[in-house]
Amino acid sequence: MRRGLGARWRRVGLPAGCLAGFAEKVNAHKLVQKMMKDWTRNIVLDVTDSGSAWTLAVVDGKVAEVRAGRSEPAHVTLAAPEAVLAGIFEGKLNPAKEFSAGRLKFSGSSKDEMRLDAVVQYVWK
Amino acid sequence: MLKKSLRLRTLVAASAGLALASSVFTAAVQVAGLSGMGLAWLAIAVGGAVCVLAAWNFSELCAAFPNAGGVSVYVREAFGSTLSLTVSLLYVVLAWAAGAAEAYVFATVLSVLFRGLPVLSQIPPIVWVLATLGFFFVINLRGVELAGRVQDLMTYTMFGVLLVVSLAAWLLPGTAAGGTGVGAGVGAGAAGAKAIAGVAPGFGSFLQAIAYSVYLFIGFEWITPLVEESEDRMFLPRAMPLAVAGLAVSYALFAEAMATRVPLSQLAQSPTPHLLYGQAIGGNTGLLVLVAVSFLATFTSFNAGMMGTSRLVYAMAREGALPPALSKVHLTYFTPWSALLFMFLVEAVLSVVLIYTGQFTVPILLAAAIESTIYALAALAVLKLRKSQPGLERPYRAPGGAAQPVVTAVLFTALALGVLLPPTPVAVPVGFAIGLAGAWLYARFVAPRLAETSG
Repeated sequence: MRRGLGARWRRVGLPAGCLAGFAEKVNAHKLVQKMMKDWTRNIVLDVTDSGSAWTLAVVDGKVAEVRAGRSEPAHVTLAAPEAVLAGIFEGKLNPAKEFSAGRLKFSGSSKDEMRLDAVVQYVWK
Repeated sequence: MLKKSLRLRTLVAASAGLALASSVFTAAVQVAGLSGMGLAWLAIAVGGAVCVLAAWNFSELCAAFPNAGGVSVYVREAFGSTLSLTVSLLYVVLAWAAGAAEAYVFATVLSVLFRGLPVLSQIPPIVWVLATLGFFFVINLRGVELAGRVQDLMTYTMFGVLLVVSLAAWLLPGTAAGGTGVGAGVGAGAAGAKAIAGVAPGFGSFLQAIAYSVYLFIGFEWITPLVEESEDRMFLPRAMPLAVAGLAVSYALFAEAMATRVPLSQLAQSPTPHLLYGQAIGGNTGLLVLVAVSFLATFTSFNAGMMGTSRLVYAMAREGALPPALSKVHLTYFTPWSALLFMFLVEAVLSVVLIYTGQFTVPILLAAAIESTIYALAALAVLKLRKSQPGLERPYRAPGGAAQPVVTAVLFTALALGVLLPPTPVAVPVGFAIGLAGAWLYARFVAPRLAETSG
Protein backbone atom coordinates (compact mmCIF):
# COMPACT_ATOMS: atom_id res chain seq x y z
CA MET A 1 0.00 0.00 0.00
CA ARG A 2 2.69 2.49 1.08
CA ARG A 3 4.95 1.49 -1.78
CA GLY A 4 2.06 1.87 -4.19
CA LEU A 5 1.38 5.40 -3.04
CA GLY A 6 4.98 6.42 -3.53
CA ALA A 7 5.36 4.79 -6.92
CA ARG A 8 2.15 6.30 -8.22
CA TRP A 9 2.76 9.87 -7.11
CA ARG A 10 6.48 10.16 -7.65
CA ARG A 11 5.83 10.04 -11.38
CA VAL A 12 3.70 13.18 -11.22
CA GLY A 13 6.47 15.34 -9.74
CA LEU A 14 6.41 17.84 -6.89
CA PRO A 15 4.65 18.21 -4.60
CA ALA A 16 2.95 14.88 -5.19
CA GLY A 17 6.14 12.83 -5.02
CA CYS A 18 7.26 14.31 -1.76
CA LEU A 19 3.75 14.03 -0.37
CA ALA A 20 3.81 10.31 -0.96
CA GLY A 21 7.20 10.06 0.72
CA PHE A 22 5.89 12.08 3.64
CA ALA A 23 2.83 9.86 3.88
CA GLU A 24 5.02 6.77 4.01
CA LYS A 25 7.13 8.24 6.80
CA VAL A 26 4.07 9.29 8.81
CA ASN A 27 2.45 5.90 8.50
CA ALA A 28 5.65 4.13 9.55
CA HIS A 29 6.55 6.39 12.50
CA LYS A 30 5.44 4.83 15.81
CA LEU A 31 5.41 8.00 17.92
CA VAL A 32 3.68 9.99 15.20
CA GLN A 33 1.08 7.26 14.87
CA LYS A 34 0.49 7.50 18.61
CA MET A 35 0.06 11.28 18.30
CA MET A 36 -2.23 10.98 15.30
CA LYS A 37 -4.44 8.29 16.80
CA ASP A 38 -8.13 9.08 16.25
CA TRP A 39 -7.24 12.02 13.99
CA THR A 40 -9.30 12.10 10.80
CA ARG A 41 -8.84 15.15 8.63
CA ASN A 42 -8.66 16.32 5.05
CA ILE A 43 -5.46 18.33 4.76
CA VAL A 44 -5.74 20.44 1.62
CA LEU A 45 -2.65 21.91 0.00
CA ASP A 46 -3.24 24.92 -2.23
CA VAL A 47 -0.31 25.33 -4.59
CA THR A 48 -0.48 29.06 -5.08
CA ASP A 49 1.83 29.44 -8.08
CA SER A 50 0.32 26.69 -10.19
CA GLY A 51 -3.27 26.99 -9.00
CA SER A 52 -3.45 23.25 -8.36
CA ALA A 53 -4.48 21.58 -5.12
CA TRP A 54 -3.79 18.30 -3.33
CA THR A 55 -5.47 16.52 -0.47
CA LEU A 56 -3.88 14.38 2.18
CA ALA A 57 -6.74 12.29 3.53
CA VAL A 58 -5.87 11.27 7.08
CA VAL A 59 -8.05 8.55 8.57
CA ASP A 60 -7.45 7.52 12.19
CA GLY A 61 -3.91 8.80 12.03
CA LYS A 62 -2.93 7.08 8.80
CA VAL A 63 -2.45 9.01 5.60
CA ALA A 64 -4.92 6.88 3.69
CA GLU A 65 -4.75 8.70 0.40
CA VAL A 66 -2.91 11.46 -1.42
CA ARG A 67 -5.11 12.75 -4.20
CA ALA A 68 -5.06 15.56 -6.69
CA GLY A 69 -7.61 18.28 -6.13
CA ARG A 70 -9.34 19.81 -3.17
CA SER A 71 -11.52 17.55 -1.04
CA GLU A 72 -14.36 18.73 1.12
CA PRO A 73 -14.62 19.28 3.96
CA ALA A 74 -11.19 20.91 4.08
CA HIS A 75 -10.41 20.74 7.80
CA VAL A 76 -6.92 22.12 7.35
CA THR A 77 -5.61 24.18 4.45
CA LEU A 78 -1.98 24.95 3.71
CA ALA A 79 -1.34 27.44 0.93
CA ALA A 80 2.13 28.13 -0.48
CA PRO A 81 4.14 28.05 -3.69
CA GLU A 82 5.05 24.56 -4.90
CA ALA A 83 8.72 24.85 -3.93
CA VAL A 84 7.79 25.80 -0.37
CA LEU A 85 5.29 22.97 0.05
CA ALA A 86 7.75 20.50 -1.44
CA GLY A 87 10.55 21.76 0.82
CA ILE A 88 8.37 21.40 3.91
CA PHE A 89 7.13 17.90 3.11
CA GLU A 90 10.64 16.79 2.19
CA GLY A 91 11.97 18.12 5.49
CA LYS A 92 14.24 20.66 3.82
CA LEU A 93 12.38 23.78 4.89
CA ASN A 94 11.28 24.82 8.36
CA PRO A 95 7.49 25.39 8.24
CA ALA A 96 7.64 27.84 11.14
CA LYS A 97 10.09 30.04 9.23
CA GLU A 98 8.01 29.85 6.06
CA PHE A 99 4.86 30.70 8.01
CA SER A 100 6.53 33.63 9.74
CA ALA A 101 7.90 34.89 6.43
CA GLY A 102 4.39 34.81 4.96
CA ARG A 103 5.24 32.24 2.32
CA LEU A 104 3.06 29.60 3.97
CA LYS A 105 -0.55 30.27 4.96
CA PHE A 106 -2.51 28.08 7.32
CA SER A 107 -6.22 27.76 7.88
CA GLY A 108 -7.77 25.49 10.46
CA SER A 109 -8.01 25.16 14.22
CA SER A 110 -4.98 26.08 16.29
CA LYS A 111 -4.96 22.56 17.72
CA ASP A 112 -4.71 21.08 14.23
CA GLU A 113 -1.97 23.57 13.44
CA MET A 114 0.07 22.46 16.45
CA ARG A 115 -0.56 18.79 15.72
CA LEU A 116 0.55 19.11 12.13
CA ASP A 117 3.65 21.05 13.14
CA ALA A 118 4.47 18.43 15.79
CA VAL A 119 4.09 15.67 13.18
CA VAL A 120 6.48 17.48 10.82
CA GLN A 121 8.94 17.98 13.70
CA TYR A 122 8.96 14.31 14.62
CA VAL A 123 8.94 12.90 11.10
CA TRP A 124 12.03 14.87 10.10
CA LYS A 125 13.85 14.80 13.43
CA MET B 1 -8.68 29.28 -0.37
CA LEU B 2 -8.18 30.02 3.30
CA LYS B 3 -11.30 30.11 5.42
CA LYS B 4 -12.49 33.67 6.12
CA SER B 5 -15.01 33.60 8.90
CA LEU B 6 -14.34 36.42 11.37
CA ARG B 7 -16.93 39.15 11.45
CA LEU B 8 -16.39 42.76 12.43
CA ARG B 9 -18.28 42.20 15.68
CA THR B 10 -15.94 39.37 16.69
CA LEU B 11 -12.80 41.29 15.74
CA VAL B 12 -13.91 44.27 17.85
CA ALA B 13 -14.65 41.91 20.76
CA ALA B 14 -11.27 40.19 20.40
CA SER B 15 -9.38 43.49 20.23
CA ALA B 16 -11.20 45.02 23.20
CA GLY B 17 -11.25 41.77 25.16
CA LEU B 18 -7.47 41.51 25.06
CA ALA B 19 -7.10 45.02 26.46
CA LEU B 20 -9.83 44.86 29.11
CA ALA B 21 -8.19 43.19 32.12
CA SER B 22 -8.58 43.48 35.89
CA SER B 23 -5.34 45.40 36.20
CA VAL B 24 -6.67 48.24 34.00
CA PHE B 25 -8.75 49.47 36.93
CA THR B 26 -5.56 49.88 38.95
CA ALA B 27 -3.98 51.72 36.04
CA ALA B 28 -7.08 53.91 35.62
CA VAL B 29 -6.73 55.07 39.22
CA GLN B 30 -3.11 56.04 38.61
CA VAL B 31 -4.32 58.05 35.61
CA ALA B 32 -6.99 59.72 37.77
CA GLY B 33 -4.41 60.55 40.44
CA LEU B 34 -2.02 62.16 38.00
CA SER B 35 -4.57 64.06 35.95
CA GLY B 36 -6.35 65.61 38.94
CA MET B 37 -9.44 67.85 39.15
CA GLY B 38 -11.78 65.33 37.55
CA LEU B 39 -9.75 65.24 34.35
CA ALA B 40 -9.16 61.49 34.27
CA TRP B 41 -11.74 61.19 31.49
CA LEU B 42 -9.80 63.71 29.39
CA ALA B 43 -6.45 61.97 29.92
CA ILE B 44 -8.02 58.64 28.97
CA ALA B 45 -9.77 60.17 25.96
CA VAL B 46 -6.50 61.69 24.73
CA GLY B 47 -4.70 58.40 25.39
CA GLY B 48 -7.41 56.61 23.39
CA ALA B 49 -7.14 59.13 20.55
CA VAL B 50 -3.38 58.60 20.37
CA CYS B 51 -3.93 54.84 20.34
CA VAL B 52 -6.36 55.28 17.43
CA LEU B 53 -3.44 56.82 15.50
CA ALA B 54 -1.44 53.68 16.32
CA ALA B 55 -4.42 51.56 15.22
CA TRP B 56 -4.44 53.31 11.83
CA ASN B 57 -0.76 52.46 11.36
CA PHE B 58 -1.27 48.82 12.35
CA SER B 59 -4.22 48.72 9.95
CA GLU B 60 -2.09 49.91 7.03
CA LEU B 61 0.62 47.39 7.90
CA CYS B 62 -1.64 44.39 8.37
CA ALA B 63 -3.60 45.12 5.20
CA ALA B 64 -0.34 45.38 3.25
CA PHE B 65 1.18 42.28 4.92
CA PRO B 66 -1.73 39.94 5.66
CA ASN B 67 0.44 37.57 7.64
CA ALA B 68 -0.09 35.68 10.87
CA GLY B 69 3.34 36.88 12.02
CA GLY B 70 1.85 40.31 12.78
CA VAL B 71 4.06 43.09 14.14
CA SER B 72 7.30 41.13 13.89
CA VAL B 73 6.72 40.79 10.13
CA TYR B 74 6.09 44.52 9.64
CA VAL B 75 9.20 45.44 11.60
CA ARG B 76 11.29 42.86 9.72
CA GLU B 77 10.11 44.20 6.38
CA ALA B 78 10.98 47.73 7.46
CA PHE B 79 14.06 47.38 9.62
CA GLY B 80 15.41 43.83 9.32
CA SER B 81 15.41 40.71 11.42
CA THR B 82 17.39 41.95 14.45
CA LEU B 83 14.90 44.66 15.30
CA SER B 84 12.03 42.31 14.45
CA LEU B 85 13.25 39.73 16.95
CA THR B 86 13.89 42.50 19.48
CA VAL B 87 10.23 43.54 19.18
CA SER B 88 9.05 39.93 19.56
CA LEU B 89 11.17 39.57 22.70
CA LEU B 90 9.84 42.87 24.03
CA TYR B 91 6.33 41.47 23.59
CA VAL B 92 7.38 38.53 25.76
CA VAL B 93 8.71 40.90 28.44
CA LEU B 94 5.46 42.88 28.14
CA ALA B 95 3.47 39.68 28.62
CA TRP B 96 5.50 38.82 31.72
CA ALA B 97 4.86 42.26 33.19
CA ALA B 98 1.17 42.43 32.32
CA GLY B 99 0.64 38.79 33.30
CA ALA B 100 2.28 39.27 36.69
CA ALA B 101 0.23 42.42 37.33
CA GLU B 102 -2.96 40.68 36.27
CA ALA B 103 -2.28 37.61 38.42
CA TYR B 104 -1.50 39.83 41.40
CA VAL B 105 -4.62 41.95 40.98
CA PHE B 106 -6.91 39.00 40.37
CA ALA B 107 -5.44 37.09 43.31
CA THR B 108 -6.22 40.15 45.44
CA VAL B 109 -9.79 40.05 44.10
CA LEU B 110 -10.06 36.43 45.24
CA SER B 111 -8.58 37.10 48.68
CA VAL B 112 -11.04 39.98 49.10
CA LEU B 113 -13.94 37.82 47.97
CA PHE B 114 -13.13 35.11 50.47
CA ARG B 115 -12.28 37.43 53.34
CA GLY B 116 -14.43 36.58 56.34
CA LEU B 117 -14.95 32.97 55.29
CA PRO B 118 -13.62 30.38 57.78
CA VAL B 119 -10.94 28.47 55.86
CA LEU B 120 -10.49 30.42 52.64
CA SER B 121 -9.65 33.65 54.47
CA GLN B 122 -6.61 31.97 56.05
CA ILE B 123 -5.03 31.29 52.68
CA PRO B 124 -2.07 33.64 52.11
CA PRO B 125 -2.02 35.89 48.98
CA ILE B 126 0.90 34.02 47.46
CA VAL B 127 -1.27 30.90 47.21
CA TRP B 128 -4.02 32.84 45.42
CA VAL B 129 -1.47 34.25 42.96
CA LEU B 130 -0.02 30.83 42.21
CA ALA B 131 -3.52 29.34 42.01
CA THR B 132 -4.56 32.03 39.50
CA LEU B 133 -1.50 31.48 37.34
CA GLY B 134 -1.79 27.71 37.74
CA PHE B 135 -5.43 27.82 36.64
CA PHE B 136 -4.55 29.66 33.44
CA PHE B 137 -1.53 27.44 32.86
CA VAL B 138 -3.71 24.33 33.06
CA ILE B 139 -6.52 25.61 30.83
CA ASN B 140 -3.96 26.81 28.28
CA LEU B 141 -2.15 23.49 28.49
CA ARG B 142 -5.43 21.75 27.77
CA GLY B 143 -5.99 24.11 24.85
CA VAL B 144 -9.22 25.64 26.12
CA GLU B 145 -10.17 28.41 23.70
CA LEU B 146 -13.19 30.63 23.66
CA ALA B 147 -15.38 30.26 20.63
CA GLY B 148 -15.96 33.50 18.73
CA ARG B 149 -19.53 33.86 19.95
CA VAL B 150 -18.57 33.27 23.59
CA GLN B 151 -15.81 35.87 23.27
CA ASP B 152 -18.33 38.30 21.78
CA LEU B 153 -20.84 37.65 24.53
CA MET B 154 -18.32 38.01 27.36
CA THR B 155 -16.76 41.19 26.01
CA TYR B 156 -20.01 42.96 25.21
CA THR B 157 -21.43 41.88 28.59
CA MET B 158 -18.41 43.45 30.30
CA PHE B 159 -18.88 46.68 28.36
CA GLY B 160 -22.58 46.72 29.27
CA VAL B 161 -21.99 46.03 32.96
CA LEU B 162 -19.19 48.60 33.15
CA LEU B 163 -21.47 51.22 31.63
CA VAL B 164 -24.28 50.46 34.07
CA VAL B 165 -22.07 50.37 37.18
CA SER B 166 -20.37 53.59 36.07
CA LEU B 167 -23.69 55.41 35.70
CA ALA B 168 -24.67 54.07 39.11
CA ALA B 169 -22.11 56.45 40.64
CA TRP B 170 -24.43 59.34 39.89
CA LEU B 171 -27.76 57.50 40.15
CA LEU B 172 -27.52 55.39 43.30
CA PRO B 173 -27.16 56.39 46.95
CA GLY B 174 -23.86 55.19 48.37
CA THR B 175 -22.49 52.76 50.91
CA ALA B 176 -19.20 53.58 52.59
CA ALA B 177 -16.27 51.73 51.08
CA GLY B 178 -14.13 49.67 53.42
CA GLY B 179 -17.04 48.92 55.76
CA THR B 180 -18.16 45.52 56.92
CA GLY B 181 -19.07 42.35 55.05
CA VAL B 182 -17.20 40.49 52.35
CA GLY B 183 -15.67 43.68 51.09
CA ALA B 184 -14.26 44.76 54.40
CA GLY B 185 -10.70 45.92 54.06
CA VAL B 186 -10.74 45.83 50.28
CA GLY B 187 -7.88 48.26 50.15
CA ALA B 188 -5.85 46.56 52.82
CA GLY B 189 -4.37 44.06 50.40
CA ALA B 190 -1.92 46.66 49.29
CA ALA B 191 -0.44 47.49 52.64
CA GLY B 192 2.86 49.13 51.95
CA ALA B 193 1.97 49.67 48.30
CA LYS B 194 3.94 52.30 46.44
CA ALA B 195 1.19 53.95 44.43
CA ILE B 196 1.70 57.05 42.34
CA ALA B 197 -1.73 58.64 42.38
CA GLY B 198 -1.90 61.59 44.69
CA VAL B 199 0.99 63.71 43.41
CA ALA B 200 0.28 67.41 42.98
CA PRO B 201 -1.55 67.72 39.64
CA GLY B 202 -0.19 70.00 36.95
CA PHE B 203 0.36 70.08 33.21
CA GLY B 204 3.38 67.75 33.45
CA SER B 205 1.52 65.22 35.54
CA PHE B 206 -1.44 65.45 33.15
CA LEU B 207 0.88 64.46 30.28
CA GLN B 208 2.12 61.58 32.40
CA ALA B 209 -1.49 60.56 33.02
CA ILE B 210 -1.91 60.25 29.25
CA ALA B 211 1.25 58.13 29.12
CA TYR B 212 -0.04 55.86 31.88
CA SER B 213 -3.36 55.52 30.07
CA VAL B 214 -1.59 53.64 27.25
CA TYR B 215 -1.71 50.59 29.55
CA LEU B 216 -5.51 50.68 29.33
CA PHE B 217 -5.36 49.84 25.63
CA ILE B 218 -2.50 47.34 25.60
CA GLY B 219 -3.22 44.39 23.39
CA PHE B 220 -5.75 45.92 20.98
CA GLU B 221 -3.31 45.35 18.09
CA TRP B 222 -2.84 41.66 18.87
CA ILE B 223 -5.64 40.89 16.44
CA THR B 224 -3.49 41.86 13.43
CA PRO B 225 -2.50 38.19 12.83
CA LEU B 226 -6.22 37.48 12.29
CA VAL B 227 -6.38 39.63 9.16
CA GLU B 228 -6.42 36.61 6.89
CA GLU B 229 -9.30 35.02 8.75
CA SER B 230 -11.54 38.08 8.62
CA GLU B 231 -14.45 38.05 6.20
CA ASP B 232 -13.17 41.30 4.76
CA ARG B 233 -9.58 42.52 4.93
CA MET B 234 -10.93 46.00 5.61
CA PHE B 235 -12.60 44.88 8.85
CA LEU B 236 -9.40 45.28 10.87
CA PRO B 237 -8.93 48.96 10.04
CA ARG B 238 -12.43 49.45 11.45
CA ALA B 239 -12.25 46.96 14.32
CA MET B 240 -9.16 48.34 16.10
CA PRO B 241 -10.26 52.01 16.26
CA LEU B 242 -13.77 50.90 17.28
CA ALA B 243 -12.34 48.74 20.08
CA VAL B 244 -10.07 51.55 21.29
CA ALA B 245 -12.95 54.05 21.19
CA GLY B 246 -15.24 51.68 23.09
CA LEU B 247 -12.55 51.05 25.68
CA ALA B 248 -11.80 54.77 26.05
CA VAL B 249 -15.46 55.63 26.71
CA SER B 250 -15.85 52.76 29.21
CA TYR B 251 -12.64 53.55 31.08
CA ALA B 252 -13.27 57.30 31.13
CA LEU B 253 -16.72 56.82 32.61
CA PHE B 254 -15.54 54.22 35.09
CA ALA B 255 -12.50 56.20 36.24
CA GLU B 256 -14.67 59.27 36.87
CA ALA B 257 -17.27 57.14 38.60
CA MET B 258 -14.67 55.63 40.93
CA ALA B 259 -13.18 59.03 41.73
CA THR B 260 -16.67 60.43 42.39
CA ARG B 261 -17.60 57.85 45.00
CA VAL B 262 -14.34 56.81 46.68
CA PRO B 263 -11.52 59.09 47.88
CA LEU B 264 -8.61 58.94 45.46
CA SER B 265 -6.11 58.36 48.26
CA GLN B 266 -8.01 55.22 49.23
CA LEU B 267 -8.31 54.00 45.63
CA ALA B 268 -4.63 54.61 44.96
CA GLN B 269 -3.51 52.38 47.79
CA SER B 270 -5.55 49.41 46.59
CA PRO B 271 -4.67 46.99 43.79
CA THR B 272 -8.41 46.41 43.44
CA PRO B 273 -9.94 49.90 43.37
CA HIS B 274 -12.89 48.66 41.34
CA LEU B 275 -13.97 46.53 44.30
CA LEU B 276 -13.86 49.55 46.59
CA TYR B 277 -16.08 51.31 44.10
CA GLY B 278 -18.43 48.34 43.80
CA GLN B 279 -18.87 48.32 47.54
CA ALA B 280 -19.40 52.06 47.59
CA ILE B 281 -22.24 51.99 45.12
CA GLY B 282 -23.99 48.79 46.10
CA GLY B 283 -22.52 47.27 49.25
CA ASN B 284 -21.78 43.58 49.01
CA THR B 285 -23.98 43.21 45.91
CA GLY B 286 -22.01 45.90 44.13
CA LEU B 287 -18.80 44.28 45.22
CA LEU B 288 -19.87 40.89 43.88
CA VAL B 289 -20.89 42.43 40.54
CA LEU B 290 -17.41 43.97 40.19
CA VAL B 291 -15.81 40.65 41.22
CA ALA B 292 -17.75 39.04 38.37
CA VAL B 293 -16.56 41.74 35.93
CA SER B 294 -13.03 41.19 37.18
CA PHE B 295 -13.30 37.47 36.59
CA LEU B 296 -14.57 37.97 33.03
CA ALA B 297 -11.90 40.59 32.33
CA THR B 298 -9.09 38.41 33.63
CA PHE B 299 -10.38 35.34 31.84
CA THR B 300 -10.71 36.96 28.42
CA SER B 301 -7.45 38.91 28.53
CA PHE B 302 -5.23 36.51 30.47
CA ASN B 303 -6.27 33.37 28.65
CA ALA B 304 -5.85 34.90 25.21
CA GLY B 305 -2.69 36.72 26.29
CA MET B 306 -0.98 33.66 27.76
CA MET B 307 -2.05 31.55 24.81
CA GLY B 308 -0.85 34.14 22.28
CA THR B 309 2.48 34.72 23.98
CA SER B 310 3.23 31.04 24.51
CA ARG B 311 2.60 30.48 20.80
CA LEU B 312 4.92 33.40 20.01
CA VAL B 313 7.64 31.83 22.18
CA TYR B 314 6.98 28.45 20.55
CA ALA B 315 7.17 29.96 17.05
CA MET B 316 10.44 31.73 17.88
CA ALA B 317 11.86 28.46 19.20
CA ARG B 318 10.71 26.60 16.08
CA GLU B 319 12.41 29.21 13.92
CA GLY B 320 15.62 28.75 15.88
CA ALA B 321 15.55 32.16 17.55
CA LEU B 322 14.98 30.70 21.03
CA PRO B 323 16.31 27.43 22.47
CA PRO B 324 14.64 24.35 20.92
CA ALA B 325 13.59 23.22 24.42
CA LEU B 326 10.82 25.83 24.16
CA SER B 327 9.28 24.16 21.10
CA LYS B 328 7.95 21.04 22.81
CA VAL B 329 4.37 20.09 21.99
CA HIS B 330 2.12 18.21 24.41
CA LEU B 331 1.31 14.92 22.73
CA THR B 332 -2.24 14.71 24.06
CA TYR B 333 -3.44 18.31 24.03
CA PHE B 334 -1.24 19.60 21.20
CA THR B 335 -0.31 22.77 22.99
CA PRO B 336 3.20 24.25 23.40
CA TRP B 337 3.73 22.97 26.96
CA SER B 338 7.35 24.02 27.43
CA ALA B 339 6.67 27.59 26.23
CA LEU B 340 3.62 27.73 28.50
CA LEU B 341 5.63 26.43 31.46
CA PHE B 342 8.32 29.04 30.76
CA MET B 343 5.73 31.84 30.80
CA PHE B 344 4.08 30.43 33.92
CA LEU B 345 7.35 30.19 35.86
CA VAL B 346 8.55 33.71 35.00
CA GLU B 347 5.16 35.25 35.77
CA ALA B 348 4.97 33.29 39.05
CA VAL B 349 8.37 34.61 40.16
CA LEU B 350 7.41 38.18 39.22
CA SER B 351 4.06 37.88 40.99
CA VAL B 352 5.76 36.68 44.16
CA VAL B 353 8.11 39.66 43.94
CA LEU B 354 5.04 41.91 43.66
CA ILE B 355 3.52 40.38 46.77
CA TYR B 356 6.61 41.01 48.85
CA THR B 357 7.35 44.49 47.50
CA GLY B 358 3.79 45.78 47.03
CA GLN B 359 5.03 47.53 43.87
CA PHE B 360 2.00 46.59 41.80
CA THR B 361 2.25 49.66 39.59
CA VAL B 362 5.76 48.74 38.37
CA PRO B 363 4.77 46.01 35.88
CA ILE B 364 1.83 48.13 34.69
CA LEU B 365 4.08 51.07 33.91
CA LEU B 366 6.78 48.86 32.43
CA ALA B 367 4.20 47.35 30.07
CA ALA B 368 2.97 50.85 29.12
CA ALA B 369 6.54 51.97 28.31
CA ILE B 370 7.21 48.88 26.19
CA GLU B 371 3.93 49.18 24.31
CA SER B 372 4.51 52.88 23.63
CA THR B 373 7.91 51.99 22.19
CA ILE B 374 6.37 49.34 19.93
CA TYR B 375 3.64 51.75 18.76
CA ALA B 376 6.31 54.34 17.91
CA LEU B 377 8.25 51.70 15.99
CA ALA B 378 5.13 50.64 14.07
CA ALA B 379 4.60 54.26 13.00
CA LEU B 380 8.21 54.44 11.83
CA ALA B 381 7.71 51.17 9.95
CA VAL B 382 4.81 52.74 8.05
CA LEU B 383 7.03 55.66 7.06
CA LYS B 384 9.98 53.48 6.09
CA LEU B 385 7.88 51.04 4.05
CA ARG B 386 6.12 53.83 2.16
CA LYS B 387 9.58 54.96 1.10
CA SER B 388 11.28 51.60 0.54
CA GLN B 389 8.31 49.79 -1.01
CA PRO B 390 6.23 52.49 -2.70
CA GLY B 391 4.69 50.03 -5.15
CA LEU B 392 3.44 47.68 -2.43
CA GLU B 393 -0.30 47.06 -2.61
CA ARG B 394 -1.89 48.90 0.31
CA PRO B 395 -5.61 48.13 0.51
CA TYR B 396 -5.79 50.50 3.47
CA ARG B 397 -3.75 53.67 3.85
CA ALA B 398 -3.59 55.38 7.24
CA PRO B 399 -5.10 58.86 7.02
CA GLY B 400 -3.06 62.01 7.55
CA GLY B 401 -0.40 61.48 4.91
CA ALA B 402 3.24 61.38 5.94
CA ALA B 403 2.61 63.70 8.89
CA GLN B 404 0.46 61.22 10.79
CA PRO B 405 3.08 58.47 11.33
CA VAL B 406 5.66 61.13 12.20
CA VAL B 407 3.35 62.68 14.78
CA THR B 408 2.43 59.23 16.12
CA ALA B 409 6.07 58.19 16.46
CA VAL B 410 6.95 61.43 18.25
CA LEU B 411 3.92 61.19 20.54
CA PHE B 412 4.58 57.61 21.58
CA THR B 413 8.27 58.27 22.11
CA ALA B 414 7.29 61.16 24.37
CA LEU B 415 4.73 58.97 26.15
CA ALA B 416 7.32 56.23 26.69
CA LEU B 417 9.64 58.82 28.21
CA GLY B 418 6.72 60.16 30.26
CA VAL B 419 6.18 56.73 31.77
CA LEU B 420 9.88 56.36 32.56
CA LEU B 421 10.37 59.70 34.34
CA PRO B 422 9.61 60.50 38.03
CA PRO B 423 7.31 60.06 39.92
CA THR B 424 7.50 56.64 38.28
CA PRO B 425 9.32 54.20 40.58
CA VAL B 426 12.95 53.77 39.53
CA ALA B 427 12.37 50.04 39.00
CA VAL B 428 10.40 50.91 35.82
CA PRO B 429 13.17 52.67 33.84
CA VAL B 430 15.69 50.13 35.13
CA GLY B 431 13.47 47.23 34.07
CA PHE B 432 12.81 48.89 30.72
CA ALA B 433 16.51 49.46 30.04
CA ILE B 434 17.38 45.89 30.97
CA GLY B 435 14.50 44.51 28.86
CA LEU B 436 15.31 46.61 25.81
CA ALA B 437 19.09 46.11 25.96
CA GLY B 438 18.71 42.42 26.77
CA ALA B 439 16.29 41.85 23.89
CA TRP B 440 18.49 43.69 21.39
CA LEU B 441 21.72 42.00 22.52
CA TYR B 442 20.04 38.61 22.35
CA ALA B 443 18.62 39.31 18.88
CA ARG B 444 21.94 40.70 17.63
CA PHE B 445 24.42 38.19 19.05
CA VAL B 446 22.77 35.10 20.52
CA ALA B 447 19.90 34.33 18.14
CA PRO B 448 22.01 34.14 14.95
CA ARG B 449 24.36 31.60 16.57
CA LEU B 450 21.40 29.61 17.87
CA ALA B 451 19.84 29.60 14.41
CA GLU B 452 23.14 28.37 12.91
CA THR B 453 23.33 25.56 15.46
CA SER B 454 19.75 24.48 14.90
CA GLY B 455 20.16 24.65 11.13
